[in-house]
Amino acid sequence: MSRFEDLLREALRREEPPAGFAGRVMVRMGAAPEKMSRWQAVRRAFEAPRLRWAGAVGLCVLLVGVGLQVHRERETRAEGELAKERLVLALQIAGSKLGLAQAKVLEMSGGRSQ
Amino acid sequence: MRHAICLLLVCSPAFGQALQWPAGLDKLAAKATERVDIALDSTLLQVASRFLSAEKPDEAAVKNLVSGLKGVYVKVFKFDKEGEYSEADLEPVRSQVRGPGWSKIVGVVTRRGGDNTEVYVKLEGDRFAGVAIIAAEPKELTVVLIDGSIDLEQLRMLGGHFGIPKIEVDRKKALKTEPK
Repeated sequence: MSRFEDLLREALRREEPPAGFAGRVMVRMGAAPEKMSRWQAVRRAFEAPRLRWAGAVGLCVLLVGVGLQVHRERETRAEGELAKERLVLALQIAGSKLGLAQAKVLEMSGGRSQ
Repeated sequence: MRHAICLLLVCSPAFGQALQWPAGLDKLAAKATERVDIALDSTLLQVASRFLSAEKPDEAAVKNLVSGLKGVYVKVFKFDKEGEYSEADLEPVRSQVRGPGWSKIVGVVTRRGGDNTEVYVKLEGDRFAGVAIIAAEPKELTVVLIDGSIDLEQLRMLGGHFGIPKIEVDRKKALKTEPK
């Protein structure tokens, strides 16, 4: 058990990089280390042509999707409002004709009783 | 035997059948100078009901009335001169309301003005499950078919709501008014 633990400890041991490691890496990258804001990092990521195109296409798809959704909602609302107006008018006509029939019946029964 | 008769009655096509708009009436549209044509099936009624506010008293009354309805069909034909339609044109409507369950509750005939109004109701138990109104005037014909559970008094009350005076309905507001 202790042998296994020793092996594990040995394998996971923290090792310090040799002196000048970071400098050598930066020289090989050809760029001096610079501090970037998050926004700059995002912009930098999209500077690659493929990513730029993918981003533009994604944005277009999103805009078209949002536009379609808004259009669909407007259409549904318009249809609903139209159906509501028709329903109200239909019930008004039905109600008025029913009232007219009732008035005629009352008029006739009133005339008969006099 | 009695059960068999009841079963036959219930299974007969006329009993419990949904109201259908008689196609024959549509030919009058060609002669009409103005017409209102409203056909709302259960789907459209549900859509319309969603847009009725429960907070506005007028709209709440309609919403309440509509909750039990399966269809609302209204046709109004206005003619330039008298005699543009005949009794035969109304026969398809009358034949629908002659079926079982239907009763004529009002039949007013005015010889002087030539106005005839008929109101038929369909009874299911102790409630109205349908209403048909035929209002025939010399230059105007109105046919209303309402399928579903309805409160007649509430319907009559709606005749004067929404800022429109009772009896006189502003037909210019009709969505399908088509001047010839």
